Amino acid sequence: MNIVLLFLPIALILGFVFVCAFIWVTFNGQYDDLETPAHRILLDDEKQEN
Amino acid sequence: MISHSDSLQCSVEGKSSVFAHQCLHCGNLLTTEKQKVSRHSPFCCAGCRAVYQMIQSEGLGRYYEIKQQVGWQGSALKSLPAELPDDITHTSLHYLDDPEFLRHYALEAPENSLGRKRMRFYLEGVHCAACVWITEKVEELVPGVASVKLDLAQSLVTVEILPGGSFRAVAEKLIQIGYHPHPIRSQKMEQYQVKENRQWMIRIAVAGAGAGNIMLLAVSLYAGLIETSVDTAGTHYSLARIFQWVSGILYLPVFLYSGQPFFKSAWGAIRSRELSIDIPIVFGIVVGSITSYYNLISGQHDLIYFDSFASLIFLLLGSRFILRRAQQRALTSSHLIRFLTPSCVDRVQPFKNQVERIPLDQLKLGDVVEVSPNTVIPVDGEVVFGESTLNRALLTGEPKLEEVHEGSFVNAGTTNVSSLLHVKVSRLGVETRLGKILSSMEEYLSRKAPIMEFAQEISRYFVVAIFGILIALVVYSSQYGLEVALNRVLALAIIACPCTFALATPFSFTLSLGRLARLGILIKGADVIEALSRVRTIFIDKTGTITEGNLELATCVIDSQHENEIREAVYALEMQSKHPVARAIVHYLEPLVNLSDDHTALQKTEEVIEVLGRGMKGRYAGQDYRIERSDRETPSSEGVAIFRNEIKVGQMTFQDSVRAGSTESIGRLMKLGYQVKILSGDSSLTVRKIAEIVGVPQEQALGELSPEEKSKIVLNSRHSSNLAPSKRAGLTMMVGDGANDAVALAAADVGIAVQSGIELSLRAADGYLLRTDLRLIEKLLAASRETMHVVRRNFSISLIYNLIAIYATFLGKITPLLAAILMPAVSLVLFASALYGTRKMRKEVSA
Repeated sequence: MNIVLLFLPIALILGFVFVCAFIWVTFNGQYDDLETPAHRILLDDEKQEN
Repeated sequence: MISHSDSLQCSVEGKSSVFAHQCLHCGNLLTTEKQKVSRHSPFCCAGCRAVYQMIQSEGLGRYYEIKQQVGWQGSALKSLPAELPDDITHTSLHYLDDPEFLRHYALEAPENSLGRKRMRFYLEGVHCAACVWITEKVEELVPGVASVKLDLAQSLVTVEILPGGSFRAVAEKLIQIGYHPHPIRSQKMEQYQVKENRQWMIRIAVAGAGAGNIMLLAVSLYAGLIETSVDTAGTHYSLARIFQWVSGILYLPVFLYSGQPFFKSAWGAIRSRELSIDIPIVFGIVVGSITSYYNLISGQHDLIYFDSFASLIFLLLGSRFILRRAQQRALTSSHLIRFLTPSCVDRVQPFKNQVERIPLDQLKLGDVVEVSPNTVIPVDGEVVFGESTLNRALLTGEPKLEEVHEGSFVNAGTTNVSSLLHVKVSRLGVETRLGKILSSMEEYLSRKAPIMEFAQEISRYFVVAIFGILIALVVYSSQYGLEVALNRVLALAIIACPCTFALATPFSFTLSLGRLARLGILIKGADVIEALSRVRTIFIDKTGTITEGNLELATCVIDSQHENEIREAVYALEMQSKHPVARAIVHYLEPLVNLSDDHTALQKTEEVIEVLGRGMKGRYAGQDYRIERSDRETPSSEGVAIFRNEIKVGQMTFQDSVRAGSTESIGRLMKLGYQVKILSGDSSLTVRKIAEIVGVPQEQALGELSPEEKSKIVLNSRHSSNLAPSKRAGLTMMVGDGANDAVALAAADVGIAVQSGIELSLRAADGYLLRTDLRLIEKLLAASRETMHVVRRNFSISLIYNLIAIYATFLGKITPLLAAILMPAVSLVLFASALYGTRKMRKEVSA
């Protein structure tokens, strides 16, 4: 059997999973603000010393 | 930490320059010698110093490092007044803990976090990553806070507190680190907008995922997969067929779900009998999709176009979404009235000698309100007790102070400067003059007729032409048979897809918006750029826009042998007043006076009295001095006389000086053909003098105008324009600052607000400048002209391409497949053209 017949469904399922992940994340509000995260990457994480 | 003590190296406009003297906190240039050479770190005002010290003491010094790292240049919008009243953090924020208030303003946070409350604030003064950092640090600094998240683009901070927490504590902390919070009531419109945005993004995601996977399969098909076949259990499958069918299935969600905005828009346009560009787009997509499915099922597997259409839908959605996001704003003017008047007031209880603090909403007509010095007056009313001076800049735009006494009428929004007043309420809320200004501003904004866009006009003709050609094509090709005819129709539908309108034009606008933003010119939308290119008349506010907006001492003539002593005396006496005139005097005399320390000067003064609105008197080194306003004001300046032991020894005059570069900018604008007019609330004499300086004809400079009158003039200018009464008549532009220009800004076709820190003018305007500099106006107009140039060029390219392609289609040279390749190819050319347009622009529209 041509190996592609195995890859194709896997690729599609993978794609589907990621689209679902995107939908879930969008409804959790991750993409409500598209500008500020671009600035946030410039800030270093500081270790909390407690 | 204090190593960068006296100066900061700064990059100005991309070139690193000499050490400049900037306030350590906000970056404003330091103007007085005293500030520059101070041994302690230099600040422009007590407010900045206080904030700097607070930031350092909390261990948040990293804020300044990040600011430099991020390359923030130039001064931020100053959100705090120059003199911080002592109790700013304590008394005015109690309402934030009031359960009644919270009921309207705070939301219960989502399900899994019981007892938590969430509230949003508009935060004045945020501008960069460092602000994000320090604002979100508040989460750690204040106990009882679950999270603090800043949305930089909207200047909105969302605060979530735990059951024991306090919004007041958070607000106090925010003020201490230098930002001014205003609570925002969440409205239904905003929830709706958030929902819509999310839906858009999911549609784009589905389209993108679909397009990507379909293309993956399509590449194999193009590469010659047709021949490969598969044998499974004796049956013969063609891999190509499988790929084609999968493409078709993947395309379904893209077509039916992601494509919906276009279908809805086209359907809406058809129903209202308007010709919108979405109609041919939808037509092309629908015809193409149906044909593809038909071919798939009926056996002509090669002629499927799922990849092209999926990508097209993805790109169209993406570009539309980007433009949409750029134009969304969180603040509405209903929020603004809260910014401009206090939330809590002190009501004087009748028959008792007490005041009680109540929310503004609970005030009634006839109540008496106590207004302390340095506080904004919350109502329109009559003064029943007290004498003071008011700063009415919100309504007049002028920095001068006005005196009031019992019987005077005062307005909401103005600031009480010197002494306590009791005001009897005669108008509240929307009935106040400020409220009425806000309402008429809203009205103008909503009535602003959408300017017929160049693209919209052309697209109407385009749609008609396309359908005409389509019909002609069908008739012509039917002589070759139905199938040939259908093929050609499909090819035409694909070719004629108006990518120019849909992709390249929004792209050009978005590019320009970005370029302007980097220059410090923030424009709210693409239609503003187009409107700007058709502006013919420019109205400019005088005070604060053409001029500095501050009183400056122009001349100081002292006629006596005790010159030095007199100067010292005047300096020492005026130092003790907060009046703008006094500040101007102090500023001027500082470098001239030989005093090692302010303290010794103060010590020599005795019996200092400030005569409200008139001047100062006192003793200095044993001599009696009187510094007061002349009774007769000399034209265009305020004269102040100096008396020593009752003998007049000196005279000072003041002026509001013109900003550097204003005259040249106005000159250049007039040369380009714009009509420049000046509007002002100041006296006509002063206005005419300024007009003379900057080169504006006298009859085009009008003074003594109220905010309402300014807007009337702007409106009338459009109607009485002598230009041909076509739709393309010249448009009006207004440049101004402050609330006194807000209505005029909304009334003009394009309103540009200059840096003023007043949210009201930001709301009324179509764009704003981060720096008050008329050269930016020149650049803005140049940018809009050039952008329309690029747009028109793109249309020409597109037109030529269309003509050639349509001709070729008639001749049968273009198959749908070829068309499907040509279309993205042309789009790329148009994109490149839009990008290239920048090089010509780069010269005129650069920093």
